[in-house]
Amino acid sequence: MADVLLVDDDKSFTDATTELLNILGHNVVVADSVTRAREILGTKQFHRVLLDLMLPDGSGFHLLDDIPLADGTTKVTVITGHPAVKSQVSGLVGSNVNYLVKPLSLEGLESLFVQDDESDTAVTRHFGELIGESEVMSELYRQIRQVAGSRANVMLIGESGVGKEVVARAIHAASASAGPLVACNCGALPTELVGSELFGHEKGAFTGAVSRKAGVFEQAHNGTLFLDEITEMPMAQQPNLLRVLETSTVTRLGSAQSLQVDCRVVSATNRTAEQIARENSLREDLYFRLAVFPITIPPLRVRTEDIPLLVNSFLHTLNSEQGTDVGISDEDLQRLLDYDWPGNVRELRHLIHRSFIMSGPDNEHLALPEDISSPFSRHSEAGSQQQWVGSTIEDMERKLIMDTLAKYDNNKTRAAEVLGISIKTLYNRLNAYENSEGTTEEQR
Amino acid sequence: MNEEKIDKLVHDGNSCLNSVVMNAELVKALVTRQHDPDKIHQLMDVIITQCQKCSDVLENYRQGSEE
Repeated sequence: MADVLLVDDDKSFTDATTELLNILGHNVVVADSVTRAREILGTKQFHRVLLDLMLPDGSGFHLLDDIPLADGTTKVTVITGHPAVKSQVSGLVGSNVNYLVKPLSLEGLESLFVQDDESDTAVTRHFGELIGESEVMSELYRQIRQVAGSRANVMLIGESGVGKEVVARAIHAASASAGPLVACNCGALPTELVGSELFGHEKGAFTGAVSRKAGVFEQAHNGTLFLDEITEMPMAQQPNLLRVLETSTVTRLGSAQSLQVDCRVVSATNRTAEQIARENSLREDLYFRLAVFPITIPPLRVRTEDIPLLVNSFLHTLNSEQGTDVGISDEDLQRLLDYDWPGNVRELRHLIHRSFIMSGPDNEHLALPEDISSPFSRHSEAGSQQQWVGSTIEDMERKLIMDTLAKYDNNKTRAAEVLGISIKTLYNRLNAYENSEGTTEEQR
Repeated sequence: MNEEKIDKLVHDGNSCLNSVVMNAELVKALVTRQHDPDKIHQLMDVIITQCQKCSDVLENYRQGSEE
């Protein structure tokens, strides 16, 4: 049974919906305006708010600030009859704010409360997308909330597999913009088609242009354009992209007429800002246009406490699809925690999926392979040998100690435990390194 | 008809249909759970009213597009 606040000024709809929800076992309070809803929200907490957007005294969106969404106790379903919001529906269902389009169906209404029941056991997805409760992820959520309130362009910086497109979807969801999210991988476009894909073309603009085509900027009007692998964009096209960003107008190839476009550009790269500058893979002026609000997505190895949540979520999805109840043993979970995940969340998801298939439907636990490392792992033997050959044992030991400390956030007790030495030995080694550095400095 | 007018037409039409669907669902629920002829009669009136309102919405737009 849920406590529901129904905010809508159409009495014939609210009367029927209230009675239907009562039959389904829920308590309903009705508000016919933003003001009335605010009054009610000030006195009582609800499990779910069903919110019409067009109310006599303003937009239903204004109420979102009055609802405690962050802790997940109250969820909001925006009910809209406006077609512009329709395109967002599929991408947003499942978050603390989701959308249903009029006319509603009873199944749609019932499914909202089934989701609420399931969410008690499932992992929380922030902005309907992101999983993780670590400090670094909380900081990421804070940045997403900050930028969602503006229309600033965002550059996502992070290693391969950290989930840059997922973060782009989260930003789009948090922005509640009217247009769609359109994704374009700049690295996958043939050089000769980049202009056509980005800006569109008129019929006959070039050989093979058999009909008019809208570019991704036009498609993302009033929404979000996600440009993945932005640093792979050919230099020759970068001035054209810069011009669109500066003027908010786009001209299809073969057309003389420019079109107004209004969309937030979220770009992504797996290079650091320093690498971009050093390698000159993006023009400086374009970088500053794209990276008005740069966000660095943390790699999985610095948020290992999120691994159990991610594993649970992946298993929950696989078990739901297959009607199974496969879990993971404590020993195997520890192995996942000890690994450094060079391929990040993508690698973890792949490993869980592969192990799930290997386990079979009747097994209680996942069948993790003996060697969980990928060929890209820093732990891979070949790589390690290449790195170590030519070094002294003393250098190797020092590097191992320093890397282990870095991995465990300078937690000396944990590092000593992992290295298999006493905390006293660790301190002795660190003091020795410090002294040798002091001696070297003095010698200079 | 321009895009803004079409959006408003769809919005207004869907609002009527929203009420129709919920009232019809309620009728179905009442028929299967409890027989209350007066209540069902009253809900059917709401559905008919909303259908007429939807028809008025479409007619208004037709006249608007002719002007």
